[in-house]
Amino acid sequence: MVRAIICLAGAYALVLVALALAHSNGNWFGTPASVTMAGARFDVVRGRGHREGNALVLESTDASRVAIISSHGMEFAAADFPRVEWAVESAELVPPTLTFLWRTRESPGRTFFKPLAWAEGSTRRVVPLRLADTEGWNGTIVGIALVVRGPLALPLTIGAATVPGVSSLTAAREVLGQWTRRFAVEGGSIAFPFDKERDDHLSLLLATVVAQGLAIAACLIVARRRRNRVDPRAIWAILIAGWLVLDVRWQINLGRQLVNTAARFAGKTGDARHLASDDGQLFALMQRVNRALPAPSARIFLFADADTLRTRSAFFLYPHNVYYGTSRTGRIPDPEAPVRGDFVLLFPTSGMGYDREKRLLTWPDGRSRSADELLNSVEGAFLLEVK
Amino acid sequence: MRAVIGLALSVALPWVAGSLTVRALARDGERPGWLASAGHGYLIGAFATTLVMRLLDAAGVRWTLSWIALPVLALAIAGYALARSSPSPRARWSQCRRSFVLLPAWMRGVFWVCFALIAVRMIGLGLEILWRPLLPWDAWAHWATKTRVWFEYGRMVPFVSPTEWLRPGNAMNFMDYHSSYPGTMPLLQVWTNICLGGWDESLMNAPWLAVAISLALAFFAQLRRAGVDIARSIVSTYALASLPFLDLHVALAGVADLFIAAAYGLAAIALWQWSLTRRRADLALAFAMAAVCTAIKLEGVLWALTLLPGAIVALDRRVGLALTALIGVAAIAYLAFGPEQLMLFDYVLRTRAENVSLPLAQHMFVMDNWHLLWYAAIAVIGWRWRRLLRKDFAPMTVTMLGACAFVTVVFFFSGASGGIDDESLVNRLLLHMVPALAFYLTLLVLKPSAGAAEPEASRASTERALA
Repeated sequence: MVRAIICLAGAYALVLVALALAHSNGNWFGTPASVTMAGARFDVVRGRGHREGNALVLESTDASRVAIISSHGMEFAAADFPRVEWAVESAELVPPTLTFLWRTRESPGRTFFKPLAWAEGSTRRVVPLRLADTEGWNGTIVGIALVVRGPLALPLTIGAATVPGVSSLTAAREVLGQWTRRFAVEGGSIAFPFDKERDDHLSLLLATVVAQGLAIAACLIVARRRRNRVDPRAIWAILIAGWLVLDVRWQINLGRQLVNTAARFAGKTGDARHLASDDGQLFALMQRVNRALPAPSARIFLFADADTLRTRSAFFLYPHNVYYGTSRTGRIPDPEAPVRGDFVLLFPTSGMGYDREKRLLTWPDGRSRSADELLNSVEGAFLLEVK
Repeated sequence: MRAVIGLALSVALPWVAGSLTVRALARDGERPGWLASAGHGYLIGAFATTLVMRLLDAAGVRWTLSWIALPVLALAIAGYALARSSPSPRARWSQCRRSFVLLPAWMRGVFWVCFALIAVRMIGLGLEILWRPLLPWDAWAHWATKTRVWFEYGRMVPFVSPTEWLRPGNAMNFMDYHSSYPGTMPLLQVWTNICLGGWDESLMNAPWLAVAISLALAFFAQLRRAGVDIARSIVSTYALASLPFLDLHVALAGVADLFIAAAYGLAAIALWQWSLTRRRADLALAFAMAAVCTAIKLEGVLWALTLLPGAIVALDRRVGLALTALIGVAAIAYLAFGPEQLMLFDYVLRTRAENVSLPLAQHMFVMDNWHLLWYAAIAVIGWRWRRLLRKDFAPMTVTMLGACAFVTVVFFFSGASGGIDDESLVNRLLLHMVPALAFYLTLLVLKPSAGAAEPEASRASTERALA
């Protein structure tokens, strides 16, 4: 049985080595030097920012809530550098959306792009972006840029952009990183908790199946050479050990998640937990709305373009009687639907509007109802009482 | 302190009442063990609690702790009175302890290691429930919405469609994302909040931990009843409890899928036990769990229907298998000649398949949602194919065929394929059949062959005493 476990460990190592070699870009032993561009070497094309030492501090986006920084001082062969790492820091609870742009000498008229993702956890950092096999990541890269989308309430610090050279060693480290990465337990995990594994070189589950197959094959070969029968206990040991490898990782993940959950929510009241959640800002707004409303149950018409915003806001308003339309687009009822004394919670939408001067709630087709303003939030939401 | 007592009461009262009711279902000598009763008991008791709440609502009585607790307590007392002639839990516990120490050391070691692994998992998941606000979409889009309103008004205020809500008339009609969903889960959350004495969005999800524990208890106890030894039973139970997707439905409590999985799984297991033992108590338990399954979610009715072919096979293998084959042929004929679309239980049924095999394969065989379960399923069925239609396994095989057929239809031939394309439904539907599948696979691998001699008769009798 011990031999079977050793066999399995060896098979895992074999899988790791094979993956490392396959993703080393042919650099089995040597590593090409990384290309690093300090933040201060980027130019602010849109938005506003300033240099601080080697970093670039982006203070705000432009009127269309976009900022762009770019650099043209680097040239390198894309094939040698399969990913880019951005050292970007944001103190915002919901950091802005980032997109990486690049141009190549071979296609001078085109700009290629790929979205960047923020890592989970309290320390905001950007996840290294894999570019191998991405459309446009070939030939010679002659310029890179970063697009920042969002209101940018707090400054965004760009430390550097690095395109690291890869070798079998860095590839092995990357594979190990993928196998031991943390899977944050969040709302979306109820449907797809291991979404990040989609981009792995080989997920740990598949690696386990391959390793188990190799280990069992090795046991069979050894037994055959010795003209013995395979001990079924050895096969069971390999199968159970593989399951345990996966489950130990999962248990560690759950443990790390529990520490995070405790740090974020433990010992807090129900309201404080919501305020500490990702949508704490929305909850705070709904608290203000609730305070402005009479005791339940008021009838509230809730208008917003985004399905999630409507549904989540409504949840925070129960036990009031909320109408919010459940179709993806959110059906807008006729102006006759709200009766005198009903309330309207209006988020900035593409259809409905509120004319503060005339105190009129306006429908997309131009019809209107008079309504008094009870609350106007900095987010642009209005709470109105229909007259 | 009030919250701790309330929480304990909200879980313990239905659990005790349900467990005693399960024991009262059978005559003396045929009663399932205390562990099996406790395993099935929570869902039965919780369901009974929601029935009491429905009755009170129908009678126009506003819910209070005493109004709900007293009938549930009466159920517990009646169950105790009917089942009291069986050995007391204390006597049974002493007997188990004596038998346990006679087991080989390695068996006891495996038992305690797996028990510790399960306990650590459950404690961690319980703390997640305790601390987290309600996060998953379904939980706050159409389950807790009803909970919040019903708790506030102390009755089942109607939830209607958005169109109906807009009609002038009743100002006390509410709406949410799926107004027509059954009220069982919200009622259970309301009950917990009533016990807690106030609205608590986190603690009201305690039933999710309770159902996970009860599922593990029943799974273990039923494996023991089926003749699987104690070490292998606990290893299988650990394997079930270790499945990441199942764990997540406890950690992110508030969505009904775990309850469907437990109710359907325990219904199937009880049905299979009945096919082996012919004890009426098992059949009654299967009916009860199937009834719970139908009350949780709309598709619970369809899941319950997949139990029928297995039940017919259990009654008469030839007739059952012929009927199953006929259903299969009819399904193929329907695909070939049926109308392009058909409405069934509010779902669109199509005859043209939607290709969703890629997301399905990724979630089952690439991502770690289910550890090695689906690989194990293929390997075990391939290895034990000779057993599949044997008399003792035929009802189980046909039941699982029914479950697989249902999943296939939903995934490839229904309006729900959108949920597979965007991947929000893939694992949740699979979860419903996983406890039953895990039990089936375990028995395929570990159940002693029908004619096999028992090599260690003394040990077997010791272990049976632990069942």
